[in-house]
Amino acid sequence: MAGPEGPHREPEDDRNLVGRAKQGDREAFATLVRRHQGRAFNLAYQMVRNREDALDISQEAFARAYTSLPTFKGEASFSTWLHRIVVNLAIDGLRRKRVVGTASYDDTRAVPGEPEAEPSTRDDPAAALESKQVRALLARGIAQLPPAQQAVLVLREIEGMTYEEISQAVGCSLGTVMSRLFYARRRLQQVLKKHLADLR
Amino acid sequence: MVHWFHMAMGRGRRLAAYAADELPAAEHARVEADLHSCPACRREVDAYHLVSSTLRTEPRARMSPEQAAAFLAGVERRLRPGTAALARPARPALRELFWDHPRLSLASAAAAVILVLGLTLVQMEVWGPWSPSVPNGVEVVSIEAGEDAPVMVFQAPGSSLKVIWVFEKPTS
Amino acid sequence: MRHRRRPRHRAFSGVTLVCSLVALLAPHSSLYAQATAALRVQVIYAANEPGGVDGRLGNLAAELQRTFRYSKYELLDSPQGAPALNQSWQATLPGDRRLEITPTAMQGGQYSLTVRVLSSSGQAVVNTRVRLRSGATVLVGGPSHQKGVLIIAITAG
Repeated sequence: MAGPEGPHREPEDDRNLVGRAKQGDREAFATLVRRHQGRAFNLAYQMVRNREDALDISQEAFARAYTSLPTFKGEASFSTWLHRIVVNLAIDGLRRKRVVGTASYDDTRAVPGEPEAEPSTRDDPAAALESKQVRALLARGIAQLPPAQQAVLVLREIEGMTYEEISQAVGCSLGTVMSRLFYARRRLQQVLKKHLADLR
Repeated sequence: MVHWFHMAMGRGRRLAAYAADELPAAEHARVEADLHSCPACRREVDAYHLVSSTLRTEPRARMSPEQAAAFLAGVERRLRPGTAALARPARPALRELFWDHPRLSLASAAAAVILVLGLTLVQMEVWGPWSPSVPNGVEVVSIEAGEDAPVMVFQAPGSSLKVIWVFEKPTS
Repeated sequence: MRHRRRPRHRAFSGVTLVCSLVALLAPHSSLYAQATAALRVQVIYAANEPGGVDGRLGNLAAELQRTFRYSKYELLDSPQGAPALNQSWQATLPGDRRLEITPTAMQGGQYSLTVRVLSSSGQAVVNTRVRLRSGATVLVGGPSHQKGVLIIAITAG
């Protein structure tokens, strides 16, 4: 998984593939799809928390990327550009649903066979339980964030993108990215602060 | 004792930036020193750390192998009718692939047996794909509201019923 | 050299595949065990007006009173159906609306349903996917009717 420190440098291959795809090389675009489909799916899922919707969004993003290739200037990496499409589609989807109050989306399970996220807690049931509770609290908190804040939070904390990459991915200024991230983080830390106080 | 960052503008942002390791070195050290004597500030920073550390270790959502294999086809279906397939990988005829590769054909046969066995076990409720502990046997998987009609899902205390409620726009 | 072994593995694979196909198509197989979803729907009018609770609601009445604060619950209709997998079943609702339910998965006593309430113009007022255990009930409510609202109780299995 990419950490928050490292920038996502576009491999040389992506640039070449994009160039060929723009010339009409469909196999080149197919290679780009195979290379980036997993990450696109994960990003969509982290935003909408529903596997079927995430699949819809990520496939739609590639379809739109394909038809928009002539407009792709290459200032950002293909990955960042694709992220932008995924994020916009996810935000549209979240806004369309307009759920008021708490929504009980139960489809949050990983694919069967997915390894445990925190092996260090495997032998400590109490720690594992607390970790689960924290994740559940955060998941609920994230679902209640405004979609724009949710997007920057996911891109920063889960995808590990830099602020510049996020700014390009969501199409807003650096200041706006930092502001949205602050409000998103603050909201979540308020949720957890109470949880931590209850434990002590 | 009143701390300098309680009075300064953007105390909250300063703590958040400290927790995210985004302050210049000198300011970072100053905040750190003051945290020792501000338990409330410490709790706030701990909570920020917990948010970040939990999110950064969030398990990646992965498509099933079948979904991953069919992903490109799904993209192709969404493209405008008439767009040629994105890629036609060279593939031997299915018959040739199956009959001339002993391991593949035997593996396919074994897979067919496992599939039938699996379906039978599911039917017998020996193994079910869904969680066995769904409260009250109802899960709301997804909701999409119409225009100007927000939707809420709730369950009243003491009731076993899960309710999907539509707030319809008044017609008058 | 490999070709000499071809006939043996072909025969074995072929027989195994044919047997598997027969097993899959056999009447006892899971594909045929739950071919339709038995749906029971109760269309209820709820309002704050005199009328009390309709006795025909049975056990549902108590749950409705625990969930909502209406003074009147009247059973308007109780359509039933048994659509097959991925087949849509519709019932008429008051106000020229329609209820549409489509089973998308049926396995081991559990049902995955897409439930839509459609307005008179065909627009989906709500479009939801739910999973129900056999016998469990989910409520879809809120569409206005006369002085109150409609509450639609859906039970599968």
